[in-house]
Amino acid sequence: MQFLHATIVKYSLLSGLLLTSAIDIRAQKQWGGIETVPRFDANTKVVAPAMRERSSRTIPPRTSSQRPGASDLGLQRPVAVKRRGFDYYLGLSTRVYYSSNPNVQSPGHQYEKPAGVWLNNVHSGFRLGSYNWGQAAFSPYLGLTLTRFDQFGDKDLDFPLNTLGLYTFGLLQFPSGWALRTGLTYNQDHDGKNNDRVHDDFYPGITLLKTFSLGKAVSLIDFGLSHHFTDSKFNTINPDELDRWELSARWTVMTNIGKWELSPYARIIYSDYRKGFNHDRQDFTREVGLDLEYPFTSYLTANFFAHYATRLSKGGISSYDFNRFDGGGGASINAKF
Amino acid sequence: MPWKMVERQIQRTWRFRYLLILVLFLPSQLRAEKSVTKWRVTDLTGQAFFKDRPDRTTPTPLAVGSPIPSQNPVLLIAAKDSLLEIATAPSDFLRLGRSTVAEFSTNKIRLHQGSFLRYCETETIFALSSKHSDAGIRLHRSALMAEATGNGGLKIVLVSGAAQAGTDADGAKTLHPGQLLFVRGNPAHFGDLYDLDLPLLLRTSRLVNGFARPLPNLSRMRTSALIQGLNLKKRYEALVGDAPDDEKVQMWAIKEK
Repeated sequence: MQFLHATIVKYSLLSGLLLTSAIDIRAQKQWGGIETVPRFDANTKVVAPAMRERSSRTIPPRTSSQRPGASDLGLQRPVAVKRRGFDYYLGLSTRVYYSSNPNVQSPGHQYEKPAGVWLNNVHSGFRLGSYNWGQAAFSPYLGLTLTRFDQFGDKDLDFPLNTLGLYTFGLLQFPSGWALRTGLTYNQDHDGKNNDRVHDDFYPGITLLKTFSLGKAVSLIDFGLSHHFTDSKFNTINPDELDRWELSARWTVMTNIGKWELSPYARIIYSDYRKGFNHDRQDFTREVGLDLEYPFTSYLTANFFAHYATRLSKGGISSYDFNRFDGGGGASINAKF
Repeated sequence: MPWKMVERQIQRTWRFRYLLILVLFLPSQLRAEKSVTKWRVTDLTGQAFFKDRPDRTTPTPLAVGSPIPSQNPVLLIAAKDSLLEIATAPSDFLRLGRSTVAEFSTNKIRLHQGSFLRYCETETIFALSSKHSDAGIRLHRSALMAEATGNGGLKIVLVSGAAQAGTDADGAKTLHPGQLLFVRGNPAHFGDLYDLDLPLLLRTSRLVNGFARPLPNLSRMRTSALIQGLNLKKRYEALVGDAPDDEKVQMWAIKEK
Protein backbone atom coordinates (compact mmCIF):
# COMPACT_ATOMS: atom_id res chain seq x y z
CA MET A 1 0.00 0.00 0.00
CA GLN A 2 2.79 2.37 0.97
CA PHE A 3 4.59 1.64 -2.24
CA LEU A 4 1.44 2.22 -4.33
CA HIS A 5 0.89 5.60 -2.75
CA ALA A 6 4.52 6.55 -2.97
CA THR A 7 4.63 5.66 -6.61
CA ILE A 8 1.46 7.59 -7.42
CA VAL A 9 2.70 10.64 -5.50
CA LYS A 10 6.04 10.49 -7.22
CA TYR A 11 4.58 10.42 -10.69
CA SER A 12 1.91 13.02 -9.85
CA LEU A 13 4.49 15.46 -8.64
CA LEU A 14 7.13 14.90 -11.21
CA SER A 15 5.26 14.36 -14.41
CA GLY A 16 1.79 15.51 -13.67
CA LEU A 17 0.48 12.25 -14.93
CA LEU A 18 -2.08 10.39 -12.93
CA LEU A 19 -1.28 6.75 -13.13
CA THR A 20 -3.99 4.28 -12.52
CA SER A 21 -3.43 1.53 -10.05
CA ALA A 22 -3.68 -0.98 -12.90
CA ILE A 23 -0.70 0.59 -14.62
CA ASP A 24 1.16 0.60 -11.36
CA ILE A 25 0.59 -3.09 -10.90
CA ARG A 26 1.76 -3.75 -14.43
CA ALA A 27 4.83 -1.72 -13.64
CA GLN A 28 5.39 -3.75 -10.53
CA LYS A 29 5.32 -6.92 -12.60
CA GLN A 30 8.34 -5.69 -14.47
CA TRP A 31 10.15 -4.02 -11.66
CA GLY A 32 12.98 -5.65 -9.98
CA GLY A 33 14.92 -8.51 -11.40
CA ILE A 34 12.36 -11.25 -11.20
CA GLU A 35 9.93 -11.97 -13.95
CA THR A 36 6.33 -12.24 -12.92
CA VAL A 37 5.67 -13.97 -16.21
CA PRO A 38 8.05 -16.90 -16.36
CA ARG A 39 9.79 -16.41 -19.65
CA PHE A 40 10.90 -19.15 -21.96
CA ASP A 41 14.30 -20.27 -20.78
CA ALA A 42 16.21 -21.14 -23.94
CA ASN A 43 19.00 -22.48 -21.79
CA THR A 44 16.77 -25.16 -20.32
CA LYS A 45 15.71 -26.31 -23.76
CA VAL A 46 19.26 -26.50 -24.99
CA VAL A 47 21.06 -27.96 -22.04
CA ALA A 48 18.42 -30.31 -20.71
CA PRO A 49 18.43 -32.72 -23.68
CA ALA A 50 22.21 -32.85 -23.51
CA MET A 51 21.98 -33.63 -19.83
CA ARG A 52 19.45 -36.36 -20.48
CA GLU A 53 21.85 -37.86 -23.03
CA ARG A 54 24.56 -37.85 -20.41
CA SER A 55 22.36 -39.38 -17.78
CA SER A 56 21.32 -42.21 -20.06
CA ARG A 57 24.94 -42.90 -20.83
CA THR A 58 25.91 -43.46 -17.23
CA ILE A 59 24.34 -46.95 -17.40
CA PRO A 60 26.59 -49.08 -19.61
CA PRO A 61 24.59 -51.34 -21.89
CA ARG A 62 24.48 -54.99 -20.86
CA THR A 63 24.72 -57.16 -23.93
CA SER A 64 23.07 -60.46 -24.63
CA SER A 65 26.51 -61.99 -24.99
CA GLN A 66 29.99 -61.30 -23.72
CA ARG A 67 31.48 -61.71 -27.19
CA PRO A 68 31.04 -58.15 -28.50
CA GLY A 69 33.00 -56.89 -25.49
CA ALA A 70 35.91 -59.03 -26.68
CA SER A 71 36.71 -56.65 -29.55
CA ASP A 72 39.56 -54.23 -28.87
CA LEU A 73 37.84 -51.70 -31.10
CA GLY A 74 35.28 -51.09 -28.34
CA LEU A 75 31.52 -51.47 -28.16
CA GLN A 76 29.97 -50.64 -31.51
CA ARG A 77 26.46 -49.36 -30.95
CA PRO A 78 24.75 -48.10 -34.10
CA VAL A 79 23.09 -44.70 -33.99
CA ALA A 80 21.19 -42.52 -36.42
CA VAL A 81 22.71 -39.05 -36.72
CA LYS A 82 22.06 -35.94 -38.73
CA ARG A 83 24.80 -35.34 -41.24
CA ARG A 84 24.16 -31.59 -40.99
CA GLY A 85 23.73 -30.32 -37.46
CA PHE A 86 20.79 -28.06 -38.23
CA ASP A 87 17.83 -28.31 -35.85
CA TYR A 88 14.45 -26.66 -35.80
CA TYR A 89 12.60 -26.60 -32.49
CA LEU A 90 8.91 -25.97 -32.04
CA GLY A 91 7.08 -26.13 -28.75
CA LEU A 92 3.75 -25.31 -27.12
CA SER A 93 3.11 -25.30 -23.42
CA THR A 94 0.25 -24.47 -21.13
CA ARG A 95 0.26 -24.13 -17.35
CA VAL A 96 -2.44 -23.49 -14.80
CA TYR A 97 -1.30 -22.70 -11.30
CA TYR A 98 -2.00 -21.07 -8.00
CA SER A 99 0.09 -18.02 -7.13
CA SER A 100 0.09 -16.44 -3.68
CA ASN A 101 1.26 -13.11 -5.10
CA PRO A 102 1.03 -13.07 -8.90
CA ASN A 103 1.65 -9.32 -9.17
CA VAL A 104 4.82 -9.32 -7.10
CA GLN A 105 3.60 -6.86 -4.47
CA SER A 106 5.36 -6.00 -1.25
CA PRO A 107 3.94 -7.40 2.01
CA GLY A 108 0.81 -5.53 3.09
CA HIS A 109 0.09 -4.06 -0.33
CA GLN A 110 -3.60 -4.13 -1.30
CA TYR A 111 -2.80 -6.19 -4.40
CA GLU A 112 -0.66 -8.69 -2.59
CA LYS A 113 -3.27 -11.41 -2.88
CA PRO A 114 -3.52 -14.83 -4.44
CA ALA A 115 -5.02 -15.70 -7.80
CA GLY A 116 -5.04 -18.40 -10.39
CA VAL A 117 -2.73 -17.99 -13.35
CA TRP A 118 -3.03 -19.43 -16.83
CA LEU A 119 0.12 -19.24 -18.84
CA ASN A 120 0.43 -20.21 -22.50
CA ASN A 121 3.61 -20.21 -24.48
CA VAL A 122 4.74 -21.00 -27.99
CA HIS A 123 8.41 -21.09 -28.84
CA SER A 124 10.39 -21.78 -31.93
CA GLY A 125 14.11 -21.82 -32.60
CA PHE A 126 17.00 -23.02 -34.68
CA ARG A 127 20.37 -24.56 -34.00
CA LEU A 128 22.54 -23.43 -36.87
CA GLY A 129 25.00 -26.32 -36.88
CA SER A 130 27.69 -27.42 -34.46
CA TYR A 131 31.35 -26.82 -35.12
CA ASN A 132 34.39 -28.65 -33.78
CA TRP A 133 36.78 -26.03 -32.44
CA GLY A 134 39.23 -28.63 -31.16
CA GLN A 135 38.81 -28.24 -27.42
CA ALA A 136 35.12 -27.31 -27.65
CA ALA A 137 32.00 -27.54 -29.80
CA PHE A 138 30.38 -24.28 -30.83
CA SER A 139 26.66 -24.08 -31.68
CA PRO A 140 24.80 -20.87 -32.58
CA TYR A 141 21.09 -20.67 -31.77
CA LEU A 142 18.33 -18.19 -32.49
CA GLY A 143 14.67 -18.23 -31.64
CA LEU A 144 11.39 -16.57 -30.82
CA THR A 145 8.83 -16.98 -28.04
CA LEU A 146 5.29 -15.72 -27.47
CA THR A 147 3.72 -15.84 -24.02
CA ARG A 148 0.23 -15.04 -22.80
CA PHE A 149 -0.30 -14.41 -19.08
CA ASP A 150 -3.84 -14.40 -17.61
CA GLN A 151 -5.08 -14.27 -14.06
CA PHE A 152 -8.36 -15.60 -12.74
CA GLY A 153 -10.23 -16.02 -9.45
CA ASP A 154 -10.08 -12.39 -8.31
CA LYS A 155 -11.78 -9.66 -10.34
CA ASP A 156 -9.34 -7.03 -8.97
CA LEU A 157 -6.44 -8.87 -10.51
CA ASP A 158 -7.17 -8.77 -14.19
CA PHE A 159 -3.94 -7.69 -15.87
CA PRO A 160 -3.29 -9.90 -18.86
CA LEU A 161 0.03 -9.56 -20.57
CA ASN A 162 1.45 -10.63 -23.93
CA THR A 163 5.20 -11.02 -24.25
CA LEU A 164 7.24 -11.37 -27.40
CA GLY A 165 10.78 -12.64 -26.93
CA LEU A 166 13.64 -12.89 -29.38
CA TYR A 167 16.98 -14.46 -28.58
CA THR A 168 20.26 -15.43 -30.12
CA PHE A 169 23.21 -17.02 -28.40
CA GLY A 170 26.32 -19.05 -28.99
CA LEU A 171 26.93 -22.12 -26.87
CA LEU A 172 30.48 -23.31 -26.38
CA GLN A 173 30.46 -26.83 -24.90
CA PHE A 174 33.56 -28.54 -23.56
CA PRO A 175 33.78 -32.35 -23.24
CA SER A 176 34.59 -31.90 -19.52
CA GLY A 177 31.00 -30.75 -18.92
CA TRP A 178 31.72 -27.01 -18.86
CA ALA A 179 29.78 -24.75 -21.21
CA LEU A 180 29.79 -21.03 -21.92
CA ARG A 181 26.74 -19.29 -23.27
CA THR A 182 26.85 -15.74 -24.56
CA GLY A 183 23.83 -14.16 -26.10
CA LEU A 184 21.37 -11.35 -26.64
CA THR A 185 17.75 -11.43 -25.53
CA TYR A 186 14.96 -9.00 -26.24
CA ASN A 187 11.56 -9.08 -24.54
CA GLN A 188 8.66 -6.82 -25.41
CA ASP A 189 5.60 -6.73 -23.12
CA HIS A 190 2.16 -5.66 -24.31
CA ASP A 191 -1.01 -4.93 -22.36
CA GLY A 192 -3.14 -8.04 -22.83
CA LYS A 193 -6.34 -6.00 -23.25
CA ASN A 194 -5.48 -3.28 -25.75
CA ASN A 195 -2.10 -4.58 -26.93
CA ASP A 196 -0.30 -1.33 -25.96
CA ARG A 197 3.43 -1.76 -25.65
CA VAL A 198 4.29 -1.29 -21.99
CA HIS A 199 7.85 -2.44 -21.48
CA ASP A 200 10.97 -3.39 -23.44
CA ASP A 201 13.92 -5.27 -22.03
CA PHE A 202 17.08 -5.95 -23.99
CA TYR A 203 19.98 -7.71 -22.35
CA PRO A 204 23.29 -9.17 -23.35
CA GLY A 205 24.33 -11.95 -21.03
CA ILE A 206 27.01 -14.50 -20.38
CA THR A 207 26.48 -17.75 -18.48
CA LEU A 208 29.01 -20.31 -17.35
CA LEU A 209 27.54 -23.78 -16.88
CA LYS A 210 28.91 -27.01 -15.53
CA THR A 211 27.20 -30.39 -15.63
CA PHE A 212 28.38 -33.27 -13.48
CA SER A 213 27.15 -36.58 -12.17
CA LEU A 214 25.76 -36.79 -8.67
CA GLY A 215 25.23 -40.48 -8.05
CA LYS A 216 22.64 -41.51 -10.61
CA ALA A 217 21.49 -37.91 -11.05
CA VAL A 218 22.89 -35.18 -13.26
CA SER A 219 23.61 -31.83 -11.70
CA LEU A 220 23.91 -28.45 -13.37
CA ILE A 221 25.42 -25.34 -11.85
CA ASP A 222 25.33 -22.07 -13.71
CA PHE A 223 26.58 -18.57 -13.06
CA GLY A 224 25.18 -15.70 -15.10
CA LEU A 225 26.00 -12.05 -15.63
CA SER A 226 23.78 -9.74 -17.65
CA HIS A 227 22.99 -6.10 -18.12
CA HIS A 228 19.37 -5.15 -18.76
CA PHE A 229 18.55 -2.11 -20.90
CA THR A 230 14.92 -1.29 -20.30
CA ASP A 231 12.29 1.09 -21.61
CA SER A 232 9.05 1.45 -19.62
CA LYS A 233 6.36 3.28 -21.56
CA PHE A 234 4.45 4.27 -18.42
CA ASN A 235 7.48 5.97 -16.91
CA THR A 236 7.92 9.17 -18.90
CA ILE A 237 10.54 10.72 -16.62
CA ASN A 238 12.94 7.82 -16.28
CA PRO A 239 11.91 5.16 -18.83
CA ASP A 240 15.19 3.34 -18.24
CA GLU A 241 14.87 3.29 -14.46
CA LEU A 242 14.85 -0.51 -14.44
CA ASP A 243 18.24 -0.78 -16.13
CA ARG A 244 20.35 -3.05 -13.99
CA TRP A 245 23.25 -5.42 -13.67
CA GLU A 246 22.29 -8.92 -12.67
CA LEU A 247 24.47 -11.62 -11.22
CA SER A 248 22.90 -15.03 -10.66
CA ALA A 249 23.76 -18.56 -9.64
CA ARG A 250 21.57 -21.64 -9.96
CA TRP A 251 21.95 -25.25 -8.95
CA THR A 252 19.70 -27.86 -10.54
CA VAL A 253 19.69 -31.61 -9.97
CA MET A 254 17.96 -33.83 -12.53
CA THR A 255 17.02 -37.34 -11.56
CA ASN A 256 14.54 -40.02 -12.61
CA ILE A 257 12.13 -42.06 -10.52
CA GLY A 258 10.54 -44.52 -12.88
CA LYS A 259 9.33 -42.45 -15.81
CA TRP A 260 9.16 -39.28 -13.72
CA GLU A 261 11.87 -36.70 -14.13
CA LEU A 262 12.47 -34.65 -10.99
CA SER A 263 14.42 -31.40 -11.04
CA PRO A 264 14.81 -29.60 -7.73
CA TYR A 265 16.65 -26.30 -8.01
CA ALA A 266 17.79 -23.28 -6.04
CA ARG A 267 18.73 -19.88 -7.41
CA ILE A 268 20.01 -16.57 -6.10
CA ILE A 269 20.03 -13.28 -8.00
CA TYR A 270 21.75 -10.05 -7.09
CA SER A 271 20.50 -6.96 -8.98
CA ASP A 272 22.11 -3.54 -8.95
CA TYR A 273 20.19 -0.52 -10.30
CA ARG A 274 21.90 2.73 -11.26
CA LYS A 275 19.27 4.97 -12.90
CA GLY A 276 16.66 7.53 -11.74
CA PHE A 277 15.00 6.89 -8.41
CA ASN A 278 16.54 3.45 -8.43
CA HIS A 279 20.09 4.78 -8.51
CA ASP A 280 20.86 3.31 -5.06
CA ARG A 281 18.62 0.25 -5.25
CA GLN A 282 19.90 -3.29 -4.79
CA ASP A 283 17.87 -6.49 -4.73
CA PHE A 284 18.68 -9.92 -3.47
CA THR A 285 16.29 -12.63 -4.67
CA ARG A 286 16.21 -16.25 -3.58
CA GLU A 287 14.25 -19.00 -5.27
CA VAL A 288 13.75 -22.70 -4.61
CA GLY A 289 11.58 -25.02 -6.63
CA LEU A 290 10.78 -28.49 -7.83
CA ASP A 291 9.81 -29.43 -11.39
CA LEU A 292 8.27 -32.81 -12.15
CA GLU A 293 7.87 -34.04 -15.67
CA TYR A 294 6.11 -37.13 -16.94
CA PRO A 295 6.82 -37.93 -20.60
CA PHE A 296 3.96 -39.68 -22.40
CA THR A 297 5.97 -39.76 -25.61
CA SER A 298 9.21 -38.12 -26.70
CA TYR A 299 7.28 -34.96 -27.59
CA LEU A 300 4.31 -34.85 -25.18
CA THR A 301 4.87 -34.34 -21.46
CA ALA A 302 2.82 -33.47 -18.41
CA ASN A 303 4.47 -31.33 -15.79
CA PHE A 304 3.90 -30.18 -12.22
CA PHE A 305 5.83 -27.64 -10.25
CA ALA A 306 6.15 -25.86 -6.93
CA HIS A 307 8.21 -22.71 -6.57
CA TYR A 308 8.92 -20.25 -3.79
CA ALA A 309 10.65 -16.88 -4.29
CA THR A 310 11.48 -14.10 -1.91
CA ARG A 311 13.20 -10.76 -2.52
CA LEU A 312 14.98 -8.44 -0.14
CA SER A 313 15.47 -4.94 -1.47
CA LYS A 314 17.26 -1.84 -0.26
CA GLY A 315 17.43 1.68 -1.68
CA GLY A 316 14.93 3.11 -4.15
CA ILE A 317 11.93 5.15 -3.13
CA SER A 318 9.87 2.36 -1.66
CA SER A 319 9.95 -1.24 -0.52
CA TYR A 320 10.35 -3.80 -3.30
CA ASP A 321 10.39 -6.82 -1.01
CA PHE A 322 8.04 -9.63 -1.84
CA ASN A 323 7.29 -13.30 -1.15
CA ARG A 324 5.56 -15.58 -3.60
CA PHE A 325 4.59 -19.21 -3.82
CA ASP A 326 3.48 -20.78 -7.12
CA GLY A 327 2.27 -24.31 -7.64
CA GLY A 328 0.41 -26.10 -10.39
CA GLY A 329 0.78 -28.11 -13.54
CA GLY A 330 0.38 -28.26 -17.25
CA ALA A 331 1.42 -29.96 -20.42
CA SER A 332 3.82 -29.31 -23.24
CA ILE A 333 4.48 -30.48 -26.76
CA ASN A 334 8.04 -30.14 -27.98
CA ALA A 335 9.33 -31.25 -31.33
CA LYS A 336 12.80 -31.16 -32.86
CA PHE A 337 13.21 -31.51 -36.61
CA MET B 1 21.32 -41.45 -62.63
CA PRO B 2 22.21 -38.15 -64.33
CA TRP B 3 25.19 -38.43 -66.67
CA LYS B 4 27.27 -35.91 -64.69
CA MET B 5 26.96 -38.02 -61.55
CA VAL B 6 27.94 -41.15 -63.46
CA GLU B 7 30.90 -39.30 -64.93
CA ARG B 8 31.95 -38.08 -61.48
CA GLN B 9 31.64 -41.60 -60.07
CA ILE B 10 33.81 -42.98 -62.89
CA GLN B 11 36.37 -40.26 -62.31
CA ARG B 12 36.40 -41.02 -58.60
CA THR B 13 36.78 -44.76 -59.23
CA TRP B 14 39.65 -44.21 -61.62
CA ARG B 15 41.29 -41.72 -59.30
CA PHE B 16 41.21 -44.35 -56.60
CA ARG B 17 42.58 -47.03 -58.93
CA TYR B 18 45.53 -44.77 -59.65
CA LEU B 19 45.92 -44.34 -55.92
CA LEU B 20 45.94 -48.09 -55.35
CA ILE B 21 48.37 -48.63 -58.22
CA LEU B 22 50.57 -45.91 -56.76
CA VAL B 23 50.51 -47.54 -53.37
CA LEU B 24 50.91 -51.16 -54.47
CA PHE B 25 53.46 -50.68 -57.24
CA LEU B 26 55.44 -47.76 -55.90
CA PRO B 27 58.93 -47.74 -57.47
CA SER B 28 61.33 -49.45 -55.14
CA GLN B 29 63.59 -46.38 -55.04
CA LEU B 30 60.77 -44.25 -53.69
CA ARG B 31 59.89 -46.95 -51.21
CA ALA B 32 63.48 -47.05 -50.05
CA GLU B 33 63.40 -43.29 -49.48
CA LYS B 34 60.20 -43.59 -47.49
CA SER B 35 61.52 -46.47 -45.44
CA VAL B 36 64.30 -44.33 -44.02
CA THR B 37 61.77 -43.55 -41.26
CA LYS B 38 62.61 -45.63 -38.21
CA TRP B 39 59.88 -47.56 -36.47
CA ARG B 40 60.41 -48.53 -32.85
CA VAL B 41 58.37 -50.19 -30.16
CA THR B 42 57.05 -47.42 -27.92
CA ASP B 43 54.61 -49.33 -25.72
CA LEU B 44 54.17 -52.98 -24.90
CA THR B 45 51.85 -54.82 -22.54
CA GLY B 46 52.41 -58.58 -22.38
CA GLN B 47 54.36 -60.23 -25.17
CA ALA B 48 54.94 -59.31 -28.80
CA PHE B 49 57.14 -60.73 -31.55
CA PHE B 50 58.19 -60.06 -35.09
CA LYS B 51 59.47 -62.08 -38.04
CA ASP B 52 61.44 -60.19 -40.68
CA ARG B 53 61.82 -63.21 -43.02
CA PRO B 54 59.19 -65.84 -43.86
CA ASP B 55 61.78 -68.61 -43.58
CA ARG B 56 62.60 -67.71 -39.98
CA THR B 57 61.04 -70.39 -37.81
CA THR B 58 61.16 -68.66 -34.45
CA PRO B 59 59.77 -65.12 -34.11
CA THR B 60 61.97 -62.55 -32.36
CA PRO B 61 60.60 -61.15 -29.07
CA LEU B 62 60.06 -57.42 -28.94
CA ALA B 63 60.75 -55.02 -26.09
CA VAL B 64 60.16 -51.31 -25.65
CA GLY B 65 62.72 -49.53 -27.85
CA SER B 66 63.22 -52.47 -30.27
CA PRO B 67 63.64 -51.25 -33.86
CA ILE B 68 61.22 -52.54 -36.50
CA PRO B 69 62.69 -52.90 -39.98
CA SER B 70 59.88 -51.67 -42.20
CA GLN B 71 61.71 -51.63 -45.56
CA ASN B 72 60.26 -55.05 -46.35
CA PRO B 73 57.08 -56.34 -44.78
CA VAL B 74 57.58 -57.79 -41.33
CA LEU B 75 55.17 -59.95 -39.44
CA LEU B 76 54.09 -58.38 -36.15
CA ILE B 77 52.50 -60.54 -33.50
CA ALA B 78 50.78 -59.33 -30.33
CA ALA B 79 50.16 -62.35 -28.12
CA LYS B 80 46.98 -63.13 -26.18
CA ASP B 81 46.19 -60.33 -23.71
CA SER B 82 49.05 -58.25 -25.17
CA LEU B 83 49.05 -54.78 -26.69
CA LEU B 84 51.80 -53.36 -28.89
CA GLU B 85 52.52 -49.83 -30.11
CA ILE B 86 55.18 -48.97 -32.69
CA ALA B 87 55.91 -45.41 -33.82
CA THR B 88 58.15 -43.29 -36.01
CA ALA B 89 57.10 -40.09 -34.25
CA PRO B 90 54.63 -39.12 -31.50
CA SER B 91 52.23 -38.16 -34.28
CA ASP B 92 52.67 -41.30 -36.40
CA PHE B 93 52.08 -44.71 -34.84
CA LEU B 94 50.43 -48.10 -35.10
CA ARG B 95 48.78 -49.96 -32.24
CA LEU B 96 48.05 -53.69 -32.32
CA GLY B 97 45.27 -55.19 -30.23
CA ARG B 98 45.23 -58.52 -28.45
CA SER B 99 45.92 -61.74 -30.39
CA THR B 100 46.81 -59.83 -33.52
CA VAL B 101 48.92 -60.99 -36.43
CA ALA B 102 49.68 -58.41 -39.13
CA GLU B 103 52.17 -57.97 -41.93
CA PHE B 104 53.44 -54.45 -41.79
CA SER B 105 55.45 -52.12 -43.98
CA THR B 106 55.23 -48.35 -44.32
CA ASN B 107 52.79 -48.58 -47.23
CA LYS B 108 50.94 -51.77 -46.43
CA ILE B 109 49.17 -53.51 -43.56
CA ARG B 110 47.87 -57.03 -44.05
CA LEU B 111 45.74 -58.10 -41.11
CA HIS B 112 45.64 -61.88 -40.64
CA GLN B 113 43.75 -61.72 -37.36
CA GLY B 114 42.98 -59.29 -34.57
CA SER B 115 42.80 -55.50 -34.75
CA PHE B 116 44.89 -52.34 -35.03
CA LEU B 117 44.71 -48.57 -34.73
CA ARG B 118 46.67 -46.35 -37.12
CA TYR B 119 47.20 -42.71 -36.19
CA CYS B 120 48.97 -40.12 -38.33
CA GLU B 121 48.88 -36.35 -38.60
CA THR B 122 50.37 -36.00 -42.08
CA GLU B 123 48.57 -37.38 -45.13
CA THR B 124 49.25 -41.11 -45.31
CA ILE B 125 48.20 -43.59 -47.95
CA PHE B 126 48.52 -47.31 -47.42
CA ALA B 127 47.12 -50.58 -48.71
CA LEU B 128 45.01 -52.49 -46.20
CA SER B 129 44.36 -56.19 -46.72
CA SER B 130 42.83 -59.09 -44.93
CA LYS B 131 42.71 -62.81 -45.79
CA HIS B 132 40.38 -62.23 -48.74
CA SER B 133 39.90 -58.49 -49.29
CA ASP B 134 42.08 -55.58 -50.39
CA ALA B 135 41.40 -51.90 -49.87
CA GLY B 136 43.27 -48.61 -50.02
CA ILE B 137 43.21 -46.09 -47.18
CA ARG B 138 43.98 -42.40 -47.23
CA LEU B 139 44.31 -40.72 -43.83
CA HIS B 140 44.79 -37.10 -42.88
CA ARG B 141 45.12 -36.17 -39.21
CA SER B 142 43.15 -39.27 -38.43
CA ALA B 143 42.85 -42.25 -36.16
CA LEU B 144 41.48 -45.32 -37.88
CA MET B 145 40.83 -48.77 -36.43
CA ALA B 146 40.43 -52.02 -38.32
CA GLU B 147 39.57 -55.56 -37.34
CA ALA B 148 39.64 -58.85 -39.22
CA THR B 149 36.18 -60.39 -39.65
CA GLY B 150 35.09 -64.03 -39.77
CA ASN B 151 34.40 -63.89 -43.51
CA GLY B 152 38.00 -62.95 -44.25
CA GLY B 153 37.11 -59.30 -44.75
CA LEU B 154 37.61 -56.18 -42.69
CA LYS B 155 35.77 -53.92 -40.36
CA ILE B 156 37.03 -50.32 -40.57
CA VAL B 157 36.15 -47.65 -38.01
CA LEU B 158 37.22 -44.02 -38.31
CA VAL B 159 37.67 -42.58 -34.83
CA SER B 160 38.67 -39.04 -35.75
CA GLY B 161 39.79 -36.81 -38.60
CA ALA B 162 39.19 -37.39 -42.27
CA ALA B 163 39.67 -40.59 -44.22
CA GLN B 164 38.83 -42.27 -47.48
CA ALA B 165 38.57 -45.99 -48.05
CA GLY B 166 38.60 -47.43 -51.55
CA THR B 167 38.25 -50.72 -53.37
CA ASP B 168 38.77 -51.51 -57.01
CA ALA B 169 35.16 -52.48 -57.46
CA ASP B 170 33.41 -49.71 -55.51
CA GLY B 171 35.77 -46.74 -55.82
CA ALA B 172 36.42 -44.33 -52.96
CA LYS B 173 34.21 -43.68 -49.98
CA THR B 174 34.67 -40.81 -47.55
CA LEU B 175 34.32 -41.77 -43.91
CA HIS B 176 33.16 -39.49 -41.11
CA PRO B 177 34.28 -39.85 -37.48
CA GLY B 178 32.32 -42.63 -35.80
CA GLN B 179 31.51 -44.52 -39.01
CA LEU B 180 32.02 -48.26 -39.37
CA LEU B 181 32.42 -49.81 -42.81
CA PHE B 182 32.63 -53.49 -43.70
CA VAL B 183 34.85 -54.59 -46.58
CA ARG B 184 34.20 -58.09 -47.89
CA GLY B 185 34.88 -60.48 -50.77
CA ASN B 186 37.38 -60.73 -53.56
CA PRO B 187 37.25 -58.50 -55.55
CA ALA B 188 36.56 -56.41 -52.50
CA HIS B 189 33.23 -54.63 -52.07
CA PHE B 190 31.99 -52.30 -49.39
CA GLY B 191 29.49 -53.85 -47.03
CA ASP B 192 27.16 -52.12 -44.61
CA LEU B 193 27.99 -48.67 -43.23
CA TYR B 194 27.00 -47.73 -39.67
CA ASP B 195 27.28 -44.62 -37.55
CA LEU B 196 28.49 -45.66 -34.11
CA ASP B 197 27.93 -44.18 -30.67
CA LEU B 198 31.29 -42.37 -30.41
CA PRO B 199 31.35 -41.72 -26.63
CA LEU B 200 30.67 -45.42 -25.99
CA LEU B 201 33.27 -46.48 -28.53
CA LEU B 202 35.92 -44.13 -27.10
CA ARG B 203 35.22 -45.22 -23.54
CA THR B 204 35.37 -48.95 -24.25
CA SER B 205 38.11 -49.21 -26.87
CA ARG B 206 41.31 -50.93 -25.68
CA LEU B 207 43.11 -49.58 -28.75
CA VAL B 208 42.28 -46.06 -27.52
CA ASN B 209 42.58 -46.50 -23.74
CA GLY B 210 44.81 -49.53 -23.23
CA PHE B 211 48.10 -47.67 -23.72
CA ALA B 212 50.15 -45.41 -21.46
CA ARG B 213 50.02 -42.45 -23.83
CA PRO B 214 46.60 -40.98 -24.63
CA LEU B 215 45.81 -40.40 -28.30
CA PRO B 216 47.25 -37.01 -29.36
CA ASN B 217 43.92 -35.53 -30.46
CA LEU B 218 41.74 -37.10 -27.78
CA SER B 219 40.18 -33.74 -26.90
CA ARG B 220 39.15 -33.25 -30.54
CA MET B 221 37.68 -36.77 -30.54
CA ARG B 222 35.70 -36.01 -27.40
CA THR B 223 34.43 -32.84 -29.06
CA SER B 224 33.39 -34.92 -32.09
CA ALA B 225 31.55 -37.20 -29.67
CA LEU B 226 29.84 -34.17 -28.13
CA ILE B 227 28.74 -32.95 -31.55
CA GLN B 228 27.48 -36.43 -32.42
CA GLY B 229 25.36 -36.21 -29.26
CA LEU B 230 23.88 -32.91 -30.50
CA ASN B 231 23.14 -34.39 -33.93
CA LEU B 232 21.78 -37.65 -32.58
CA LYS B 233 18.40 -38.81 -33.84
CA LYS B 234 18.27 -42.29 -32.36
CA ARG B 235 20.33 -44.94 -30.57
CA TYR B 236 19.58 -48.49 -31.65
CA GLU B 237 19.26 -51.17 -28.98
CA ALA B 238 21.98 -53.29 -30.56
CA LEU B 239 25.72 -53.78 -30.87
CA VAL B 240 27.48 -54.63 -34.11
CA GLY B 241 29.37 -57.91 -33.97
CA ASP B 242 31.26 -59.98 -36.50
CA ALA B 243 30.55 -60.61 -40.18
CA PRO B 244 30.68 -64.44 -40.23
CA ASP B 245 29.96 -64.60 -43.96
CA ASP B 246 29.39 -62.17 -46.82
CA GLU B 247 25.62 -62.16 -46.33
CA LYS B 248 25.28 -61.58 -42.58
CA VAL B 249 26.36 -59.14 -39.91
CA GLN B 250 25.95 -60.26 -36.29
CA MET B 251 23.92 -57.91 -34.13
CA TRP B 252 23.72 -58.24 -30.37
CA ALA B 253 20.58 -57.02 -28.64
CA ILE B 254 21.10 -54.63 -25.72
CA LYS B 255 19.11 -55.10 -22.56
CA GLU B 256 19.13 -51.76 -20.73
CA LYS B 257 18.81 -52.10 -16.94
